[in-house]
Amino acid sequence: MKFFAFHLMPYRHLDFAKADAYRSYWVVLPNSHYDPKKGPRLYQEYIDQLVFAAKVGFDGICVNEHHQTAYGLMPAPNIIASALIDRTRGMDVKIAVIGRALPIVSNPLTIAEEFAMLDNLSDGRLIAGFVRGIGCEYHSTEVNPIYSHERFHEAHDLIVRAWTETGPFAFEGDHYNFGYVNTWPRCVQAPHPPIWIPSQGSGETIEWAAAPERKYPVIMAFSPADAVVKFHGSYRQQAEKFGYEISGDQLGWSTPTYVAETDAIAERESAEHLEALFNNFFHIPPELLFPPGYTSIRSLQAMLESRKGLAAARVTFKDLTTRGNVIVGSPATVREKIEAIHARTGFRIMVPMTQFGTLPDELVKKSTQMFAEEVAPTLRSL
Amino acid sequence: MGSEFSLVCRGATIRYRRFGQGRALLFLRSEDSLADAPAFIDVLAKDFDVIVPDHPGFRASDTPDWLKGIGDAAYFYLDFLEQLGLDRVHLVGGSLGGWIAAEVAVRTCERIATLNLIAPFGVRRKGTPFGDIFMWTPQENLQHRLFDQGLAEQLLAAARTQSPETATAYLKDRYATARLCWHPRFHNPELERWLPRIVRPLHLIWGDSDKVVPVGIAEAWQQALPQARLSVIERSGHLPQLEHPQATADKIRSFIKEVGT
Repeated sequence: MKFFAFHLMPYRHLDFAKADAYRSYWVVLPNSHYDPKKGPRLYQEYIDQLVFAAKVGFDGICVNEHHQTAYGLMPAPNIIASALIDRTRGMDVKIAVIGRALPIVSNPLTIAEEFAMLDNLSDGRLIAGFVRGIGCEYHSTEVNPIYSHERFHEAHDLIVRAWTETGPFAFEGDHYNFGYVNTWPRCVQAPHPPIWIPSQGSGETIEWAAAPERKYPVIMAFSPADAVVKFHGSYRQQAEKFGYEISGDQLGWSTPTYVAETDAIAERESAEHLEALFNNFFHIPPELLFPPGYTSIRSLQAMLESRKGLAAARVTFKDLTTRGNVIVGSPATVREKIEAIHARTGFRIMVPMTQFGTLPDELVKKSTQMFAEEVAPTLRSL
Repeated sequence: MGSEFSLVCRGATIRYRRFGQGRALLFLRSEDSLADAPAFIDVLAKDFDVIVPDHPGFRASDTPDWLKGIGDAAYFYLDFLEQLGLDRVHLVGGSLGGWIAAEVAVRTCERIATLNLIAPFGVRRKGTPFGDIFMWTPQENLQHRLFDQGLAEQLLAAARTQSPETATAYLKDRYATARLCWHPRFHNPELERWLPRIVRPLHLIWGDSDKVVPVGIAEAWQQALPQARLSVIERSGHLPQLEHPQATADKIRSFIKEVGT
């Protein structure tokens, strides 16, 4: 099993009492709630945390992309990735951008170019994640969510061709058209950097990622443990349908993770910060999260049904641990929880979110170090 | 109740209903499935053969592969007019339906006698933003569309006990609306440039308290079409045909009578 530390870079200095007056922490929360005096230090703190994770033994460090939100301050994750590459020069550590949101750009070739640059800057340490972006992104960019899937697939095809075919060539799509595709620089890794697909678990994504010509690792994010098991199982079945046996290296799990000396200390130190992540930063009404077309009508109805009654109630630490949305506890507890899921799915990519919500710097580093030294080593052989 | 019909256009089955008798009047509805206005249609049906289609992608009609944007809806209605052999038809449209009517008319007014557009999308006036119906909850969508909050409450109460089929139909309409309206949001710069091609009498009808397409946007239409008439309905939101069916229908009838073509 391999371990990747993941960061959202939330604006943790937010005044929740004021921010809660708005429809969501996404798109409509005025940016006057961001204090530029606190920003530079926060970015440095977060970058330091990821570099720290690399130094204590994580196999890779991960960033991602979101727009117009206090939930994550990386609208341009490649900028952070570039800083991380420089700070980890000479280290055998992967830099994973999981991911760039393909459909929301009008020119996906810029993504092909930037990733190719990062692959060169890192001398082949880049992992390239592709996502559709969450529903809110379609409000903040005004890209039509009806065409989200089509644009994702088309942009993906364009980027992979730009990385693998000799240019210049023409790309003729429904959404993207270019007379000259001729990406300089070329990627260092052949045929191209590994492509990972973070997902919330749609059947369509599994089928697409599992196809024999792709076999992309899918990283299940933000889901209860049972859903992760189900999702990994679906991927396995899909692979069988395609006529091959899945490898655990195709299955990933990303989840907020906190390790401390004992279960009680871990709960005491992490509970409020986890609740802030789920109740505040991730408070998104369905209109924002599921704009028309982002999912099929049937999936939307299923999701609305599953959210019934949840909207008003705050989730508690107990809810989150019971459902397995998060992994919290002593090193032994955290090991057991990861082993338990591994026993059921065989997954081999573990992506702990080492900072979450309002978790302060010293606790992030303490937990990160304990994970690397007391959790990861015994799980590596899985 | 009207009679139900369907036709096939490029592989898609499109449903429509007809009410009353007289000269043909094609009513292109609003995108809002809760905004049906039977009383309004009844008044018009006294004088006209009122034809009320479910737009492609909406309600009982198919969602065709060819429906990608507002222009496809316009070309569909040109086909529709031809297939039904309608001539010198009176076009009436509300909101999205008004936008589609204008898109038809800039392409050709050949089969059109008059246009009555109720708070149409389609034309933007900078500084007077549209309401964000995609951000609003279903409840807000009703409240912000209506001046009469008592009526909004009644419709909400009815919606709370709606059947699963109605709930699915609501989402289908919303998806189709996004397909046509998400971007550019509720307008088409090309339509704005070619509005003067509407060479038939044009009547704009607007609620004075419209939060979806504020009445100030009427000015942008009138700048491009100085001969257009504007009737403002007082104490009305985005759906005067629902809140004031008689008054709204009367304004349309008298306009048609006056310009008499």
